[in-house]
Amino acid sequence: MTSESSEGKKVTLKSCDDVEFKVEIPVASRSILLKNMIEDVGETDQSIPLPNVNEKVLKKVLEWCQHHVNDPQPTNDDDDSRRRNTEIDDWDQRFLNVEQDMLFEIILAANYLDIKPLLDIGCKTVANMIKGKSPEEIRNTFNIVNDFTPEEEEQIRKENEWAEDR
Amino acid sequence: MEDNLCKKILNKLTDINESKLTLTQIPPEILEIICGYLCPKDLFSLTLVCKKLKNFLWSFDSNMTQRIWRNSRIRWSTFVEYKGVPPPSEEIMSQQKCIWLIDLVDACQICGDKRKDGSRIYWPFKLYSCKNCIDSRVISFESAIQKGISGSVFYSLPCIFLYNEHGVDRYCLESDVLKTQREYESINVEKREEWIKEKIGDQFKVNDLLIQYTQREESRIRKEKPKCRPGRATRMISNNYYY
Repeated sequence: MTSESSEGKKVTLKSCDDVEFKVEIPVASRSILLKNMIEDVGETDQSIPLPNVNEKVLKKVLEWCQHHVNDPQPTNDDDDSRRRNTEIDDWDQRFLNVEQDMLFEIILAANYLDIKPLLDIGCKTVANMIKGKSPEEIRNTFNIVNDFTPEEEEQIRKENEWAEDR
Repeated sequence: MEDNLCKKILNKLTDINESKLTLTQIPPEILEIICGYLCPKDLFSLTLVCKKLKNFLWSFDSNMTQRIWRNSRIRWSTFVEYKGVPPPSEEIMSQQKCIWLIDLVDACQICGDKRKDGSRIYWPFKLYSCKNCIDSRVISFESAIQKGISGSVFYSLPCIFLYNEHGVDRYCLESDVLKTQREYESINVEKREEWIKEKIGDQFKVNDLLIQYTQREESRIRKEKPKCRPGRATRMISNNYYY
């Protein structure tokens, strides 16, 4: 389906908390899951239920899809070049400047809806929050409880140093 | 199974009362993507954060975990000139260990000396060490026999070749030799020979893989005339058995 033929046509998406969004098909098609669904089903007045995404997250994800509606679809070939690049453009950076649980919810939604570029920048953002930090700093950043006993911690530190008894 | 986990977590999202989502609650396939942007050092830090992350990242046989470390090594190696250098062989050591030896260890693992010129990786021993420490911890065939070690025990162990007054001799780590001799003696006499034969066979395969690896890497490095810093470079170049 080309974007021209679907110009102006809309599809209705329904979040898990029963909120409906009327979305232009090219915008919804940023999601490969939705793109395939729309192509399979054809024109329909029925709303597409998204049992895994709530209103708040869906709204946010659709905002991203709207902004990136004219981006080229990613191909599998440039997988590795995307991975090497840790830059995130300014708009996306502002877009992902959200509460941490929202960030993870966006990532999960992008994974479920199959929106690779959004999934990637979400994961990059999380990676940037980890880079260069000590384990303790990572715990603080993500509010993770250190569940190692002091003995275990010592043991791992040793293991990590490969300090084998020679 | 991973799908199920994913669904379970996603379903949780719909419940506003659920505790906030964080790094330790996301499905492994997403964690893998995140790790794809991290260098080995960051992966080591992540390993030390909590049990869940440790179980995920410190596995030596999970394909996903090995893939994460391998990709990290290839993409993020701090020594650009060695990007893509394969580990000796995945049958010989884990990705984590290989990364540790190539990129992260900066002191002799035995005495802690940080001078780089005298230290190198002894791949057969999976050890980064200075010359002094290695010399004082290896034992030749002859000395081993004098100490009552069985010849077949000696030949079942990882070894390096060192020059001495007679030419080149085979050396094993003394600690390995003593430990294996004890194991050997603890085995029922009838089963002993079979046990040691199998061990020798395994070691033979490992030696073969190591020789192939070192020859390939040496010729590659010579061909490329690397622009690398001398200290580190010698660690890779002198991978051969002959130290």
